[in-house]
Amino acid sequence: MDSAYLLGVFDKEETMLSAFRKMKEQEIEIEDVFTPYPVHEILENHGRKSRITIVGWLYGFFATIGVLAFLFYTAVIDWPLNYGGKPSNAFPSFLVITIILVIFSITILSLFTFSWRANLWPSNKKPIYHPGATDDKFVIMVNKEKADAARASSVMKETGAIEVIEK
Amino acid sequence: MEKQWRSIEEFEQGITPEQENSSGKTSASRRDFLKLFGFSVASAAVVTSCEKPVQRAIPYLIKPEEIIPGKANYYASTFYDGTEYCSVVVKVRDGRPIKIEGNHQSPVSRGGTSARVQASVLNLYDDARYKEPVLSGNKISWDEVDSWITSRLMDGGNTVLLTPTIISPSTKEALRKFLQAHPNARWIQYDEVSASGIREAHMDLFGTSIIPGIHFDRADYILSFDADFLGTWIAPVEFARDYASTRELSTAHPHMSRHVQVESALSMTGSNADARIPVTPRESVLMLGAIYNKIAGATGHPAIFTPPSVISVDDLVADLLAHQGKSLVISGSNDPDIQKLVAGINLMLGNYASTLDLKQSIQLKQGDDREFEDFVSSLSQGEVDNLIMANVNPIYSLGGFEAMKKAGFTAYLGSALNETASACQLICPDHHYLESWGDAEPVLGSYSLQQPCIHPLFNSRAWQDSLIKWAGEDGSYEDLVKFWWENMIAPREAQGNKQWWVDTLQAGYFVSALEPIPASTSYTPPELKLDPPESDLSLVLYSPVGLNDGRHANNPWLHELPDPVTKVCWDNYLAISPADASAMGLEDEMVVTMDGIEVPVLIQPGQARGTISLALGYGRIKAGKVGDGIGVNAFTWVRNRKGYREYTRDHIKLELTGKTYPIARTQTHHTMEGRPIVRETTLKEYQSDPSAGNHFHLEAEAHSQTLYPEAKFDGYHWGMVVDQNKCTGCNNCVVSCIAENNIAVVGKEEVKNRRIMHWMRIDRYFSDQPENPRVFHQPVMCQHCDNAPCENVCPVSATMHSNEGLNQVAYVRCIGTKYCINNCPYRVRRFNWFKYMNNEKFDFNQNSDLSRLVLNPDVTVRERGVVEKCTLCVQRIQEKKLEAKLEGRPLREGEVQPACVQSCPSGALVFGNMNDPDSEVSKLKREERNYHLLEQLHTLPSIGYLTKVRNTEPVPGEVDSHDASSDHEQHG
Amino acid sequence: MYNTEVRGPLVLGNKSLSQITADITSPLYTRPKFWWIVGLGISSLMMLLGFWSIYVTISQGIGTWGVNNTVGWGWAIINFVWWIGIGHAGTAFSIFLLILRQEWRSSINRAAEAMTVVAVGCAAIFPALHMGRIWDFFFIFPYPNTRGPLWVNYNSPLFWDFIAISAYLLISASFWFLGMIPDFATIRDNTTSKVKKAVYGFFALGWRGSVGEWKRYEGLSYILGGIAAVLVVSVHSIVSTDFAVSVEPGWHTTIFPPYFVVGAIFSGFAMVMTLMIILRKVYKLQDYVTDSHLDKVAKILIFVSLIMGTAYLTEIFLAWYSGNEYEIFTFFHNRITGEFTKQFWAMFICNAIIPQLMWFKKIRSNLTIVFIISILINVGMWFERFNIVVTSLSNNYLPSTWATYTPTFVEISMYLGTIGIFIFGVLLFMKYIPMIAISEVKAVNKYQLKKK
Repeated sequence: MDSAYLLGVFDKEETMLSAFRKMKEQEIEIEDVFTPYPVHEILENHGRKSRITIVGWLYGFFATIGVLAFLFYTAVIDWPLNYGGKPSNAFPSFLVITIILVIFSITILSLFTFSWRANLWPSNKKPIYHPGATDDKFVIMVNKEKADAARASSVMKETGAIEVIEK
Repeated sequence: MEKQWRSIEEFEQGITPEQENSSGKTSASRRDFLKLFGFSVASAAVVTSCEKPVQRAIPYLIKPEEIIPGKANYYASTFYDGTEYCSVVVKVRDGRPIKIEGNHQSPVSRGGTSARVQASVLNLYDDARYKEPVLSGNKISWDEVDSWITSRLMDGGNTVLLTPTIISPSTKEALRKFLQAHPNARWIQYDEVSASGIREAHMDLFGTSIIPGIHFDRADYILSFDADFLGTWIAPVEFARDYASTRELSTAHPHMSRHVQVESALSMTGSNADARIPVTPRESVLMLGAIYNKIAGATGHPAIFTPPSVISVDDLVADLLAHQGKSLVISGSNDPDIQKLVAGINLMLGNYASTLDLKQSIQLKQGDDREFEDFVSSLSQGEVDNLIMANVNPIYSLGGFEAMKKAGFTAYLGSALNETASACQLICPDHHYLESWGDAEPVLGSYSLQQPCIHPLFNSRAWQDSLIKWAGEDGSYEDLVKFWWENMIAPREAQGNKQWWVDTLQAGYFVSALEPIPASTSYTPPELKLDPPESDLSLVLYSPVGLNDGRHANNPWLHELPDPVTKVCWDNYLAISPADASAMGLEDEMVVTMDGIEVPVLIQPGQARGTISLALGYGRIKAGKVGDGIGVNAFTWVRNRKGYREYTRDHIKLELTGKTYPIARTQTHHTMEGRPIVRETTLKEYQSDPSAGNHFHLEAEAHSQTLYPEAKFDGYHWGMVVDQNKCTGCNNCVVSCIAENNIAVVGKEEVKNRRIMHWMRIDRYFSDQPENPRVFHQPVMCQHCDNAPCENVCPVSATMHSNEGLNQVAYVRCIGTKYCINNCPYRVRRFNWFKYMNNEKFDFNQNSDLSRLVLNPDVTVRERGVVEKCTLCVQRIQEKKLEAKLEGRPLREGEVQPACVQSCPSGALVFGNMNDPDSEVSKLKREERNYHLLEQLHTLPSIGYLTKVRNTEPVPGEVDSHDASSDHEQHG
Repeated sequence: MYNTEVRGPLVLGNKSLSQITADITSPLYTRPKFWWIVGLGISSLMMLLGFWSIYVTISQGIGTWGVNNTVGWGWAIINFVWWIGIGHAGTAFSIFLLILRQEWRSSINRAAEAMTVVAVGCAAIFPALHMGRIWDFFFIFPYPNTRGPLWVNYNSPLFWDFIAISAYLLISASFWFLGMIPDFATIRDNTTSKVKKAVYGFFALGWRGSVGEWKRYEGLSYILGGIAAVLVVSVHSIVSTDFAVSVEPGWHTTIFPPYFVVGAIFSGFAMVMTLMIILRKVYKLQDYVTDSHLDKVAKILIFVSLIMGTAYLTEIFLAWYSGNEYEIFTFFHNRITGEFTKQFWAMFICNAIIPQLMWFKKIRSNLTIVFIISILINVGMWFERFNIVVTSLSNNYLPSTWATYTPTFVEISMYLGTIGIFIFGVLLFMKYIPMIAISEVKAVNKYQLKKK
């Protein structure tokens, strides 16, 4: 059985973190870390970037323009009507709609972006390396091609990994 | 032969020669065609009583120059139902009469109609009509009928022909022929609600049995005793127009008549009076006697004996004497003695020269009660072999007619099912008045013609035709009418002149010159000894504005018409004064028994203490699916006193039953809560300050501010003004609106649930003390606000503003959120809570193939779940605009008239273009009396209201201050 | 990072992580209890009643309700606003407490959000059925059509309302679901049953807890959080414009938006209180939903109740101060006194007075009383909506049009129906979805571990 990955399984956040730090010092490239809850030190130091917040902001920006343009076109240019003596361009009324519709579009769009970028979608078949990672285990994964497996495993062991699995 | 005119305008312009020639050529075929066309649409659906209305349209081979599919024709005709007369213009669409309009050419009714007249078009399509002759249950042919009858009549037994008052000269001629042919036959006229007291009185005093012409327009001072002359008394439409003309006010002409009403029940007329004195029947007689004696004293005539009146009449007498020759005293009583007093007072005041007219006397109500009594007694002695009745219903209106069983043979000539007809052996269906020829002479010398507007729907025959046949003569009644008019009625120079006949038929009326009778001034007082009824709990029976005497009791429009004063639909009830009610421990909707009959009670402010009142016309048991078993038959209490039908009873005993009976009212709160809704002032104040009582308007105008610029309307800007000083609350506009706009009848339950569909309602408010309240009538339709709150809140743009200032609803677009209903401060919008068409739950006119023929094709029938409301008859506006466009001219002032405006008998409603400064509307809107409903909301309504002015002493506290009666919530 | 020592333990009893998982997911593996089945039965019966009333309404018409041409809106709108209000709890919890960094929220917000989704669903039923022609519902979408094209009226609060509610439903649902993804994964990885593995695996969307997932997950939570923060204020403000934009006396006031938002949070928190008290009892979750949590909610309720009382008094004062006779009539002759006195005082006492009892520690710590109060608050809030909707409509400008309103059986059963739906939904939630955000609790739990 040839295995691509080396998995260091920890049962405490602290031990996992110490291993993480050590490996950083020794510049052992860490493929990924699986934790049952977000561990912010890792999220900040692991080096992966996420621009989803910026994207969300952009969605909002363009949605605002789009919605206002649509309202103005339909109510003022295309089919103006006299409702209770108000001018067809009753801008204050547009604002409410704009706010809600912008919120609406941001949500939908960023949901899809999320599901695409974090590639999460119903019944996709990503390999699950260690089932404990969603329960009470913290798993550090090292890619054998990219890093020296022997050193990695030794580091993990000495920092208190309860087991080191080859997968 | 005859030539119709499409509209009053066309008639006024007169007919051009070409039209005459062309019409002359094709007229015969045209008439036939019209008949065929009407038949194809109507009878195919009906006679064969097939399930769905006919879908096929009949193409023209040769199009008669007169008939344009989808374009209405108008025919001048005459409405007369045995008690009420009105000259009308019938709107015929594709061969179907669908609407009755007032005939503005008529010198008698002058464009006015009444609720009954408006509703009469629905009776044409009544399911309860007889569809073919029936002999003791078996259908037979007319020939059989004729042979049968003639054989019976030839036996030479005593024959009695019982009819209502006949005012048609040609019919009288037909009767003459019949009586001539049968010497043993007698003709008796019978009025359910009789006025023979008046005729008797005038017989005594002037030697002629007449009802004098009554001219309210010439009276500055009107004193009426129990006469509901604006509602149902004798000739209400005519009277209303005259009366209203004396209530017209403007800064240019700041004068109006004073009207005092002395009555027991709060009648519609009483509710319009400047001063109203609630009295028991006894007191009213005593007051009359006292007035008589005082005036006799003042004019040097001998007094009569009368017990003293507890109520002072001094100022009444003073006013009368101050208005000699310009005053008018009338009484609704049927007691000849009382009428003699009234006539005497008028004579002594010299009113017979001016306000009362012996020459042009009223021809209605010719029935003679004593003659009828004799007939009944002879009938009960079995002296009558053949009893032929035409359009009368004695079994109902006598509260039972046992004597009828004694007649050897009974025949009924009439149009629709009723108690009497169903008890007769032979039933000969009569035409509806829209199907038959005829004429009328409502006022001596004023004639009007009646022409068929549709081919008879059923196998019916004009009863005059029957008379002619049974007289053994040939020729039809139609020929007789023409003959009679061309030779008897036409002036000498025009006799035998066809053109005269054509023109007259077109106009619908003709007035002949009369030899003047010298106005009698000499007065020989009668020997009178008043014996007024006991002052106990007295019952007063009255004809309600909706059903009148009950002859149209199968008409759902009239049943759902709220009473002008009590706002009750679908029932009659005992009205009792608040004081008596609390004394007897009675409350609204409690059921009491009166002579063993159960009646619900309604506490009515303004009802005189010691009196209760009950409406006639209800309690029909064989009227049809709508009218059966609604209310109680008040005719049971009508009795003969000294040979005259008397409509009051004393010594009435009421017993509580502990039951309650729900009464449906369209309005359950009766005071204005001190809000400036109907604004009121007195004549004195108005004369000193034209904006009296309307200061709130100035205030509102001053505070008027707007965030957005107000919308501008180029071209037309439609608006209306309601003169609350002229409006009598007669409900004519309401029924007119129902007929024009296909408004659904929802029935008692739904009215009780406050879901009545009427687009136009007449709000009625009380103020002051409940013993004798001031009453206000306020017609409210959609106000067509230029800042309409309803338009803003519709999510789907189903309601928005037109560029002519109309607030419009797109039914197809409406999804029924009902937000517009909530946001309309006037609550004029109506929601279709159910499917009212073709629904067994709403088994009224819209659930019958026959009755649906009355629908106006120009107006959508609304679907379940959409909101509807007054459109100011936009279909009429569009029609006229189209005509004007074809002629390349702008609309003329007064050319467009919504249904409510067109036939308003008092001319209280004015419609027009507010952009035209010279239009009547604009003029009225400039009056200081003009204001808008809830104007402080800045909804900018297009409807204006004119302050109500009462010709009376300034009232303590204007309407703007809280009314005393607002805390009398037991009737609120 | 967070510092919670001052606030004492958030999770009691030093749970190990796997212990937490086990505790929270236990209902999944145990057989449903008797009361659960009974509850499900009753609620489904109520739902049936509701469906019957819906059928009647659609087949015969709104005429089967008590509303009329004067009072155009009745129970339907009252219940709509009521449900939306209740729905606010979830969003309020997740957002405000997130923004305020209130860590203890994590043990409650899952339930709260579940409530939101079900409640908003219930709410949406009413405006839909209350339309005269529900089959033409789609007219409300501004889509190019054959009518001109005729678009829609952007001035109408009903249109604002429509989009606001749809947005709210979608966003709160996605917010809720997003929070559940890691927990679904947890179940997927821990269950032995194949079916559960498949089903939860499906909804877990292949979550593994990797760095990239957590990073984007947090990013998205921030976006949605920010959005929901706007929503929680805007949605009920917009609902309030349904009234505030009209001309009706008692409706046309500027106080409505804040007044509605606060009212919504009030009823929402009360409902959370109700639910949590039941949950922790039946599922023995005292260690996660601690007394101090409930105590905090109770304190919030006191505070909000004070705001409500102030709002009521402000309304009344302004009605009097405006000198507008119609306003004065509505408030003084139609609410405080007059036809609808009972409803008014029911509202005032339940919302403004009774919650004040919780100032006393004794009462606040007695969960039975707190439970009763939390129920009373929602009763009071229902009457508040009744006051707003019915009293203003029934007696407004022209006395001739005054009419009263009484609901019919159809309307009542529709209300019961939605309550059934709510209970039904909550029961399913209890059984099949981790009632508490496992991952969040684990994150919070670590502080205990640290401490010892």
